[in-house]
Amino acid sequence: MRQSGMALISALIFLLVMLLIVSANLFISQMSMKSAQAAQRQLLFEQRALALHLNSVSDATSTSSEADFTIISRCPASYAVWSDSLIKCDLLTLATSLLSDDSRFAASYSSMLVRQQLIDGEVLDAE
Amino acid sequence: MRSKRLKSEVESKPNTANPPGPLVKFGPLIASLLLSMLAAAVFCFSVLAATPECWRQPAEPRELQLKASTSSGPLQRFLHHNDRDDAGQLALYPPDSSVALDALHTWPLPDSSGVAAPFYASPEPLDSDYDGIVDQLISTDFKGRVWLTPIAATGFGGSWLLADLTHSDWRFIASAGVIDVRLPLPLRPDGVPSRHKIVLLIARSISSGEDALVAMKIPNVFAETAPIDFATLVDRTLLTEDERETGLSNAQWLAIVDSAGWWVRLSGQLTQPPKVVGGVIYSAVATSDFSAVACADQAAEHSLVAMQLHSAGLVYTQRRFRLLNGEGQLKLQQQADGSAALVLDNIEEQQLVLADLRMISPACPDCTEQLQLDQFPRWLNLATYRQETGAH
Repeated sequence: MRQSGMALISALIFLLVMLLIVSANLFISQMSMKSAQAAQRQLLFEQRALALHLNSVSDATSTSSEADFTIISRCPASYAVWSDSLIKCDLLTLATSLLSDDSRFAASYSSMLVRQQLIDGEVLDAE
Repeated sequence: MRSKRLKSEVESKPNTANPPGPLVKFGPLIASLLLSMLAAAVFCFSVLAATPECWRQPAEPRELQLKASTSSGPLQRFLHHNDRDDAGQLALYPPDSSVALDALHTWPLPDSSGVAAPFYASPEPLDSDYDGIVDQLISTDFKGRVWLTPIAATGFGGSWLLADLTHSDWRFIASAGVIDVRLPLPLRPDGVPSRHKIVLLIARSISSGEDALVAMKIPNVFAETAPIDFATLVDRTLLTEDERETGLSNAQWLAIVDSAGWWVRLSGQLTQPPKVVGGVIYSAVATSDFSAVACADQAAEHSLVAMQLHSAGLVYTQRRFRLLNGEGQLKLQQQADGSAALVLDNIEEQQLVLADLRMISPACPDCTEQLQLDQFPRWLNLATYRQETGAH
């Protein structure tokens, strides 16, 4: 009777010690907080990647060199159309990617931009 | 019956023993007179049927970059549109040889297949899949049959008859381009696809020599539809009083956009290819000194015709503006404030034709806004997409 009581007490002590160790580990690693924030962090990261991409799109419209463009044969369809002899279109494909600081997340965005410009010689400047 | 009996009486006359009458005596003379009259009539008819030389632009060969069957890049080819025995034909030549790779003589017609009339209008190349390489041609013959033909570096594919605009008065002498159009949702009738192509054709009357502008929709699914007929095009030559005062009604707009296209008499002869600027077609026409057998020259009276591309409606308060002369090319001119003007540009001077140009706006059927040329170069973002590799 006494022996079985000792076994129960030692088992309880062992369980208590294990519980202390596990909870201390959980507390130190902040695992539950991390798992709770993981989705939010990923969303924030995606948003950061998109913001970077949109910034580079607006930069590209002012600084891109002619070599980056692909000439397309026709301008895309539109409502207020122009003759092919007056306007020409070039296509610019722009891709950016972002890797998170701990290299756990990666996001990349691509954009297709069309540049429409008037053909030289068709538009005169006012004197 | 009666005529047969008369004929038999006439035939029986020479068999009788009576002396030859005056009819028989002057027979050869009358016959020669009749023959010469017939020849004169045939000659007059042929003169009327033949069109003046000035109706036709020289048929220049056109350089095209076409898709090769192998995976190497596009190949250079030259497209000729010539007549052979008064029938239109297309031929495709390599750059280094005078032997045609392929030629197209037989065309599908409404009932069967046969020869085309001469090609006065040069064929319009199309890039149907937007890969930068021409893969289709739209050819319009003198009578107004419009065909769509697939084309590759090796030759032509089978043609489809898109339209048979044959009309007793109109002959199709030129093409003013193929335009890609996208209609915004509020302006689109049910069942009309948002994107389609419009081919602009120039027709000339064989009785008066005046020109008409024809805008015909190219159906997206052409294999199953019947060819477009001239009668199905909406005649927009005359604008009603209501339209002049209150603008195009929504019902009229939907009817025009839903139809196969429209056509407008220009009351003159085009002196240069029409230009489409911001959804408005500008055509310079000579309004005097022309006829069915003679073309107008620079000394004639000239005017500018401006109309909406989709409906041929009014963009400005009137369609027609007077030009001082017909010398020079219509050009756009950017003003100091960024707005646009249309000028007639010749070597000596620039004549201002129209200031403060408008462009069409999708807010309503006849809405317009001021055209600003300082917005160019203009950027359009076609798409932004996220590339994903693996699953998160």
